[in-house]
Amino acid sequence: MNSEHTDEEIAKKVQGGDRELFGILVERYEKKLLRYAKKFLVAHEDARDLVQEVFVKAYVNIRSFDAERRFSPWIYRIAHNEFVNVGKKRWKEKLFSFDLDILFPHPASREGADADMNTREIRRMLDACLDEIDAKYREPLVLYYFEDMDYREIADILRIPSSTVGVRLQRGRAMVKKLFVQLHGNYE
Amino acid sequence: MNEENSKRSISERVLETIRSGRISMKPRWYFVVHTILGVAAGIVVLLILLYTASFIVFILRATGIWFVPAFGGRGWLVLARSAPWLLIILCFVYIGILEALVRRYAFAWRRPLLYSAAAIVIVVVIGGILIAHTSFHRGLFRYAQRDRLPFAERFYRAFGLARMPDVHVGSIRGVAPGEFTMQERHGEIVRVFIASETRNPLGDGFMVGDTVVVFGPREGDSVRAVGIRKVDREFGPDAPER
Repeated sequence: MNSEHTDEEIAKKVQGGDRELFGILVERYEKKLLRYAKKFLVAHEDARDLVQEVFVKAYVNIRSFDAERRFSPWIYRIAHNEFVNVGKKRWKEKLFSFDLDILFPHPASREGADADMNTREIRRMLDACLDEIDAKYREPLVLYYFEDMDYREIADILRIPSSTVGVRLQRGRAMVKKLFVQLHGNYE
Repeated sequence: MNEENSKRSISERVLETIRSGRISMKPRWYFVVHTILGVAAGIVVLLILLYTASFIVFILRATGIWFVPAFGGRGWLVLARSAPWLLIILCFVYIGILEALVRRYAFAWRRPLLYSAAAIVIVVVIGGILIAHTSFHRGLFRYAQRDRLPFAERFYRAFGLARMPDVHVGSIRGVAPGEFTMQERHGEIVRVFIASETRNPLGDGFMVGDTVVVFGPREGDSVRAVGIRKVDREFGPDAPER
């Protein structure tokens, strides 16, 4: 098994009992999930332990993974659940409680609505004020700008409609710009 | 120990945990059973919902309240006042539970909550009306009247035979100019007076044996009709045996 094989093919082999191959999946996602944990939980000191726990849960539940689907949103979903649980304890608040955003359709929020802004520029601004942004908006921003996920993948990870992903990204970007200007005076 | 642990890669640590046998994969049947239980729970909640919704429609029809909005604003007011709100609230609770169960599936979470909730409400309302028109509740109600429905007897009798203010259901026993006599489901005979302002879309075409819903205030054994509407025999004392 090497880089020619897809995550899904490897996951299928692991499901069949080849447990050593799970190490390849861990190696492929270790850095990504560490970055996701650090960005979402804002430099959490136990990020490595958390990510290890994510992989343990992924291994235990790997037979629930449908190899016809993409592996990436599946493992990010496990990470999301793990990080949200940690976030709840840490911020002592109920994260992602019922939200009107998921109730109504948002036809105006389509993918690529940020075409007017440079992705690298947003990443830089996001990095500078990540901890000031509400977790509800921070997570889709991190998944979109740092993990290169599309709306559909983010929707599957967060289990919200794609149009809601669009709305949260739109509002999140507006917050980032506002915060950045407050902190640094302008976009430069 | 922790320091040594942190030096090793996550991959090594995870594989070591797997090799040591401290964790193992859950078998596929576990997830299959989990899915089956989830679907079964959804079906059970949907059936309870359909039963409750159809029961609401049935008792509204049996007590005549279903028909009174045809008599205008006062009719709507009586409907709002006499509707079984407890059962309606219960329906909304079940809809919430069903929505929570359904939203675990991609076809639901990928769309706004409004869509799946609206789909559930439409299915329940249409399903409830259709079931209420079958002999299902009517049969159970008849059993309840004959004390042959051990578990739901009081339930059906309490709702189905409830007297609603200003709404009277019965079969016509005699017709005279400007009035008729009617036997209610409880067996009581009442006189119904028709005035020129009585809303009566059928004109005077009443015949002995017709089952009607009369809307109007009652004083003693007399009802001053504000509105009259002919309904199926199944709602009156002459309902056919099934």
